[in-house]
Amino acid sequence: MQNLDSNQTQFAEITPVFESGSSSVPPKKIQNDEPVKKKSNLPLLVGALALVLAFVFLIILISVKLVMNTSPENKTDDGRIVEQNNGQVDPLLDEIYDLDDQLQSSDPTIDEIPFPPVDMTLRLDAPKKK
Amino acid sequence: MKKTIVAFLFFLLMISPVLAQAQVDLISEKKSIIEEIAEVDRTYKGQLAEYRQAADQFNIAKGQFTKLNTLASLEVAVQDGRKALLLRDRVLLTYLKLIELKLLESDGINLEEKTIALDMTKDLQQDFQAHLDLTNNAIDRVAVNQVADDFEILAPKITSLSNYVSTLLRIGKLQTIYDHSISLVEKTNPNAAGAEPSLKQNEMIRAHTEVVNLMEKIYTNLRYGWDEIRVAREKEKPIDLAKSNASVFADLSQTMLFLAEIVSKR
Repeated sequence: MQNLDSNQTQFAEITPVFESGSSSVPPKKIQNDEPVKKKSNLPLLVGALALVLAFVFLIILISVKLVMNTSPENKTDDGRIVEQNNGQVDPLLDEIYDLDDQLQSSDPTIDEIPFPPVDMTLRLDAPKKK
Repeated sequence: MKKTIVAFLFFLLMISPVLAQAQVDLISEKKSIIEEIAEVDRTYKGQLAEYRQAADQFNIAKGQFTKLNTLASLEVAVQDGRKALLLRDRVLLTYLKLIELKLLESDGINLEEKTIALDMTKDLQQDFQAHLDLTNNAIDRVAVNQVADDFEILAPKITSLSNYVSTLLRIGKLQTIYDHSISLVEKTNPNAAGAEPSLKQNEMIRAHTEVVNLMEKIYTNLRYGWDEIRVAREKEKPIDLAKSNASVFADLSQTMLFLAEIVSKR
């Protein structure tokens, strides 16, 4: 019979595990001679830059559009807008017709703000003779 | 490098609302003048209707006084006369405000003439405001007759200014269209760099020359108009540019037709 330690259970050996000689070898530290290459952030930054530029452009575009409140109209009723083969309106022709519309509303024979039709000689008594 | 790019990105983000705001401000300024014109125009029309009613009422009261010749009918005529004179001043004052805004809105007016016209309009507004205050305080027959006398000094001033501003607005509009059409003529130039080669190149060149000749004619007529305006203002004479303006208008219409034809044929 072995002499048992008072703290030990009956299934345990007397000799502590670490003293039994079957100790495990600690893993060797892997030494890497080449330094790890740091990943470049440049593509990411360029991407972000492009994104911000697009955002800035979008903000300007939306602001201007909102203020101008332009709605693309197809002036097809008067048949003046000529459509190209691909179905798009020639921008130059569009520009010409816009300017022509502006011209028609600038007819110099029409007085935009005529003088008010008021009686300039309105008075109670006839003026004194000078 | 990284910090610089991040700083730039941050800067762009910060400045984007400012850039957008600058664009918006430019358009908003023009838009606000247009809105103000519409509002003043509504006021003007309302005041004109009120004046007409008051003037009719005054003429009836004046007729009654002439017929009856009583103190009661005189009092009615004086009060109705005062009201009509007051409303006439008010409507003319609003008219002056309206032409001031129209001048501000117009792009094509020669800057020197525009400044002079605006100053004249503002000065006359002050004169009319002073006259309106006098009319407001005129409560008896003598005072009402006095403000009517004073108005005779203002009347030729406002009719002359109206004629001057109206001429400026008309020629200004034509000038604006002429200025815009210059860029259109440039864009349709078959000799211009980047212009697409066409089989009808010679025909296009001849057509374009025709347009250029028309534009030169328009330019000459517009210059004549501006010179006439300056001379008339300096000599305090009425201006009549009906003939030259009609010619500019017809030539501009022709130019638009020619340009549309050139573009359609390309």
